[in-house]
Amino acid sequence: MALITENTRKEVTEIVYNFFADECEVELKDIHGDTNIINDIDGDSLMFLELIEIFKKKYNLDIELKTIGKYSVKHPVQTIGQLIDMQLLIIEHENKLLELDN
Amino acid sequence: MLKNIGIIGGGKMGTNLLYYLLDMDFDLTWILHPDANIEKTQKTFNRRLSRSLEAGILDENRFKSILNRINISNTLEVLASCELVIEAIDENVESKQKLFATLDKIAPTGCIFTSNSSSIKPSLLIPSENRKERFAGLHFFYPIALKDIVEIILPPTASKETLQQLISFLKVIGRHSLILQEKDSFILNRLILQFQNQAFLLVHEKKASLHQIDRIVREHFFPIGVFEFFDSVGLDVMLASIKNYTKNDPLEAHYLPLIVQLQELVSAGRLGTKSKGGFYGEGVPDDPGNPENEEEIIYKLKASWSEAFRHFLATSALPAAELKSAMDEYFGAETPKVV
Repeated sequence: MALITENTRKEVTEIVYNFFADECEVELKDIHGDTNIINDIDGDSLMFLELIEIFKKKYNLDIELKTIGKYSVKHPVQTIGQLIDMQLLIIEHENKLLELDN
Repeated sequence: MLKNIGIIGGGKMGTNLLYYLLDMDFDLTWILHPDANIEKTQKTFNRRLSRSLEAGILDENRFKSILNRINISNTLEVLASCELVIEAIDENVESKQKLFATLDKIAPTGCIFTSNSSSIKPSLLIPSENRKERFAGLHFFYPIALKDIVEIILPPTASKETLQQLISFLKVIGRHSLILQEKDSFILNRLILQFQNQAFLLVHEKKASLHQIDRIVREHFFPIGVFEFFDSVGLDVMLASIKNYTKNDPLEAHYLPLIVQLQELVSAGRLGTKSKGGFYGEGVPDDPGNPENEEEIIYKLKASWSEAFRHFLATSALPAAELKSAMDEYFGAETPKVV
């Protein structure tokens, strides 16, 4: 179980913001925590999956997509801020993510 | 083993399928709409792939190998050496029929045609006598990486060899197959729909509020509420599917209030989370419902779920455990047991 520091949050936020700016071809300044991924910047769940792969590699995470799938059914992500929060939870809890609901 | 795969459709499902199959050593041909901007799509594709290389998800060899194995086009002629085609265009019978009729003249006779339709029976789409043994439904659930279940829907004319090849294909790509005869097609969606319709009728008859139903469903049945599910899928998509599922069904009238409500919401531009709202959203106040009838609502929903499950168990040849397991996979959680 990894410890989430302010630095981790900053790093994750930066990666997510740059990712969506690049992928959705929008200005970095137009991306905020409450930006709706689908409605505001025309994003999709493929981007979410790609980001998971990026963070899996970067933080050497032991997390199955199935676990994230189950978690996201109960905790759907709509905004950039929610996505960052979920990524941080994934980094922190990895495959124990579902235990948060118990 | 099937090696040369064609995916037709650049929408949500076609794109998802392409990216899911990308790293699995297939030769992939991705066909987009004739009006699609191929250059832009290719650029987006290259950018995504390059990012995976930079992030260390792919190594240089893998990166080059994928680039060599994919062809993006908007002409069907490039499918001339395909072994399996998966169609994922709009849910429109005429468009699909036209597409398969054209493709029938291009693809080799041994090529298997499949449709990812979630509501149109495959036999309606078979283009010719020559193709009838090699045509089936291959219904993936979105997003594919998270849903380990695919319905193989067999028209009466499909050959055993076609079935075996599709089972092997799904095994290779790591997805579990649920084999269905055409009369049982889309069984998972239809089973859930029967339950969803009952839930809707409780709201329609003012016996419960939609907030109350969704809370009860989350607490006792599935990880997502009935109306949250509708909004998430898209009310236009749900409407088209329900119309297809209930057409010529003796119980069609039973679904009419739901169809009318969906039609009204869609006409008002309320398509669900992809728009300004659907059942939820702008102008829908939080209504906790009536806590006094909570037990009765739970009882009715449980009865409805059991009835739907038993109905589809009786009409299909599926073992109860297989249907339950497919349903669990669909929801990504354990669904209620039916005794």
